[in-house]
Amino acid sequence: MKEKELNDFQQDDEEQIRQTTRREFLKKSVKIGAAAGVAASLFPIISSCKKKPEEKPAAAPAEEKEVSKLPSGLTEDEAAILSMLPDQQIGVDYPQGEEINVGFLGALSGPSAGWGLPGLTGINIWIDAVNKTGGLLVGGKRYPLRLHTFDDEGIASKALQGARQLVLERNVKFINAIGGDPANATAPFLTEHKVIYASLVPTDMHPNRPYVVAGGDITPQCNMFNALIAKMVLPSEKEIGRPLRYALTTQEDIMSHQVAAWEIGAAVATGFEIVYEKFFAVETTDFAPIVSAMIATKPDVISLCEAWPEYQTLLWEQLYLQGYEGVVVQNYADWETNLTKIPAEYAASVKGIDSFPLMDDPWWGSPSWQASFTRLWNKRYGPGAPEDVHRKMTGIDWDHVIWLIPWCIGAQLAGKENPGKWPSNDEILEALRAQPSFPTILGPGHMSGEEMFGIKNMIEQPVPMNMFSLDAKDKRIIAHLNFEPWFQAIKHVVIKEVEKRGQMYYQRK
Amino acid sequence: MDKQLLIQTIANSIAISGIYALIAIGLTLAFGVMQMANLAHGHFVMAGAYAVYALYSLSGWSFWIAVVAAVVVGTILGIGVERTIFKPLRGDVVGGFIATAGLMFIFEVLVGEFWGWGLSRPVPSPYKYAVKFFGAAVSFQRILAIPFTVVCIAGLGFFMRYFRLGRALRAVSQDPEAAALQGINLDRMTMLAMAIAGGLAGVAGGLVSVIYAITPSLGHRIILPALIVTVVGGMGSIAGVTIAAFIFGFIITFVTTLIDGVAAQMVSVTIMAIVLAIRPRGIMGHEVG
Amino acid sequence: MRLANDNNYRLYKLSSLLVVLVVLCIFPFITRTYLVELAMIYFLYIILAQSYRLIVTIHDWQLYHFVLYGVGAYTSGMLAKNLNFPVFGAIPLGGIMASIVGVLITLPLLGTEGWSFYIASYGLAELIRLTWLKFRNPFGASTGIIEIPYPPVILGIDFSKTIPYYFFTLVVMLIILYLLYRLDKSHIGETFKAISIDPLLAESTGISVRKHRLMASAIGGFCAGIAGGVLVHRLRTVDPNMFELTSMLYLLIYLVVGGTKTFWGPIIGVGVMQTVFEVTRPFAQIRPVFFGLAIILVLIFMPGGIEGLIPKLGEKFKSLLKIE
Repeated sequence: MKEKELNDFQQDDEEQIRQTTRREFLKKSVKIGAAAGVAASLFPIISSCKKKPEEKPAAAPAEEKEVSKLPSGLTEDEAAILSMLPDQQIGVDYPQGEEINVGFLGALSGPSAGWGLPGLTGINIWIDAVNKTGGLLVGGKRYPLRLHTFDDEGIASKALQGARQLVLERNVKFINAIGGDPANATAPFLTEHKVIYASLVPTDMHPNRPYVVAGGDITPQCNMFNALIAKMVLPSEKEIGRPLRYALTTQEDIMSHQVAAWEIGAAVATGFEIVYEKFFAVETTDFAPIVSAMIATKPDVISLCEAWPEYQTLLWEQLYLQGYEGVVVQNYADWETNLTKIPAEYAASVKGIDSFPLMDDPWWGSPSWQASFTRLWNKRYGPGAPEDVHRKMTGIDWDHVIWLIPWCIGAQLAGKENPGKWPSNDEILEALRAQPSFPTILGPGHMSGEEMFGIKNMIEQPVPMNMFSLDAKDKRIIAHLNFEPWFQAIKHVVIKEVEKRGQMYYQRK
Repeated sequence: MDKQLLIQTIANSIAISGIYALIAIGLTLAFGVMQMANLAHGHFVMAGAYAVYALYSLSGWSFWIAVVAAVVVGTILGIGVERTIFKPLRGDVVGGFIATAGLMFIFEVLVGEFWGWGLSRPVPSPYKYAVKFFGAAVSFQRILAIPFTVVCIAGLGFFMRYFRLGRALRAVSQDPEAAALQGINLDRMTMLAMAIAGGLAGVAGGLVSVIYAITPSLGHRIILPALIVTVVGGMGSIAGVTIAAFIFGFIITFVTTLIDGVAAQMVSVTIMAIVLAIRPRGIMGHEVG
Repeated sequence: MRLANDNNYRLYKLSSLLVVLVVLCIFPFITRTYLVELAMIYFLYIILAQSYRLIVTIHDWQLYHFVLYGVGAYTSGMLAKNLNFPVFGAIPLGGIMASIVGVLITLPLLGTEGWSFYIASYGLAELIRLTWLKFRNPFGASTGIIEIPYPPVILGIDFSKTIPYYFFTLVVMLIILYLLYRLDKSHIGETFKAISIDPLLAESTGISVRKHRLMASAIGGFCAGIAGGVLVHRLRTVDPNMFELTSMLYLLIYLVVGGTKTFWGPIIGVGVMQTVFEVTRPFAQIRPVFFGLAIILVLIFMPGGIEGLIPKLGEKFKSLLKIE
């Protein structure tokens, strides 16, 4: 009897809960939503009360002013960045050509978004500047540029879908991308349609992919130079009586093995003994054991290779805490974040060598293309700007424009041969290859790549190398190096090491 | 492995075990009471970490006050999720699990939109030095996790033994029906459990903010080890989870040092599978069913 | 009277199916190429959702299904590329491999339930994915397998082209749907339903729940593997990144939204949610919020999924017919 009553009691209870749940849910969700809304609106207020002053860019000359003879809306800085085009003839009228579509195919959401999303800022700045002059002047007509994006989430199958949409539906002729396996998936389709795919991953280039281009990322050249610079700042083998030791680690991702192979090759060519060469999983959160294992091999140089920004910060932290004394080199150092975990003195004591210079490095001087770009970026995307992205400018913001600009240059050159219509991508690439030199963001560049990647689709530019500066508490360019002559001297040793690891283009299956 | 590396690895293992335990305790407590786990627990930890980022890194509050704020944030999130998701879906294990999966997506985007995608947010370490013992160096920041974990476990134990509410919580996790018969308000208990779980996640997030990289995908990275530890330790058992945290802390650290991180993950998953095959309720879990 | 109405209803059902079939056949010839390729993505997801439903109803919401898709892809791709296996032979082998792996994964899971089951199923799936990631030989590590061969030209039809491959995918999907439908209506299907409603009761009547669950894994895995094979010979590349937890969760969301009680639920779920996915491309960054909210709202307010609403609509329609 008691049991039945209790059962009924329970059932009634459950009924009640079910019936009132929905009504209550609505009431409660409104309350919670309001509370969340209030809380959410408090955060921007709180976070805008920053205590630390913003670091001003090093070179900040006179502000841009609108010169009256320039087309309406075009600022002096924009005119400055357009100066790379050999034949833009700003202010001169030409008939309008059709819109030329340019694509961005990369991760705009998800964990890889950090490599793709920021790239849009630089591309937008360039395209808007070009369009303000009426369009890119090619073969006597002005063609406005238009950007279309597709989020492939870093996944190969979605990248192929994106390539199809961009080419078949939006008629793009040039695609900025991050690369990697998405490059593998899209290459056959893009080759068939003769659309250029500008990748950040140099090892995407291959002789059977005539339209995949790279090199804008100066990888792996900058990695190879790391070995050279490290050698220069260390005592010699003769002085210390033993070969110098090189340890390398980076995350396991689509290009790490290839880039590491080239860097190790350069290290071997420069006389280093390789004592550690391992890759950690992308999901790693604890870097203590990795650094412990590296330090146990007593290396003179520790290379973080192309470790992603968040990983290299944590690696630096461990290096400091576990007391590493030697030289630290890497592909990209994020000093703003790193210095929150390690003292600047430590970074200086281990040299902190990397590439990917700051656009506001005094090295570039002012006026300069870099200074103008920095001003434009801060004006549009910096703190308090209309499209504030809540972060400082990084290397990715200009990484994608490195190839977009030469493509425009190539179009102008090819257009001279065949005026009146937009040139084909074959013509554009040929025009670029024919030039002994053309301007790029990092200096005078030319097309190269046959020996390293089997096809002349790589932009080779002077490689800026940075070292950490205690005064600036940031990276500063210490040298601008020419890759070709050095590579010719060491290539036999390097290629042998890369081959040993199965990373040459003819070994990739 | 030479002696120096061995000592360093042991030190690293102890430090990371404390962190795993701190993260997993909230998860297992909530499960014990509601029979439902919060798949978005890792994202709660992330929310705590971002709270510290916003208040300490961006607005210059004191670090420890920021951590307290993180606890508050976690508690509010815990209660919010309990009211909006777990209560309407009570008893529906599948539903709760899927709904919290949906929560994961929401959190990730909210955090990303608000504080930016891309490169990780810097949170300065208030304690930049290392503790040295026997020649091994471990970041003081990490060592902190251990006393915190101890205090939390002791606190919880104390609460669940000497306070009426705590004993009620324990009763519900042992037998919800019997507890209801005693007049314990299940509704209030689940809310309390989630509040505590959320608060613990907030503490973990606060401590972890200076150790891990603060990106919107932090939640994803934290949850898998936490789930493995919880499942192997036994859903609902705090003691079990602590033991499992140490077991896996050691295994993952040693394998990473000797081989690499991918192998370490593979080994931990395999061990979890074996444990589940032999003893489905985990080391110290209650009977399943 | 009733008989006539039932026949009407059946006729109505069959004729509407026929109309859909005809539309699907004409579709590739009247639309843009991009949409034809997109349709193939829908077809593959329908196969995945339908095979997932099989396992979900009889066992539980496992989290390894999407990885079985990958097993089929890797197997078929590697056979075709490294061993020069004919493509149309490699795809079924991919299905068989996925089936075997599915059964192997399910074996240790049979003893677990609830939370342990979900986490363990995810863990084991991750183990497979990590294996692909760790071993450069033969899986290619993070690069995966590239330059997987296109299917060949058969009887003058070049299957490397969009429209022929569309029909191939369509035929594969229809065959699988038909087989699963027959299974649903068959004696075994009745047993499956009994187990899904009350496993303990079924066990007590002598049905081996274990055996049937393993059978479901085998069949479901086979279908997922076939889908993987079909995918990979169009994409020509496969890597571990394609089979992460997020993709699995999206598949799960599709199924919950569609509903699992009837055979049509998964198809509706894929149709609706995949379209939402495509249409929200301009908001790619914040799209996950929509999906997260959608799943939570559906679970609370519409636990039967969209298919739960259909009977109500069907009733209204039926009453309209009766009025006639």
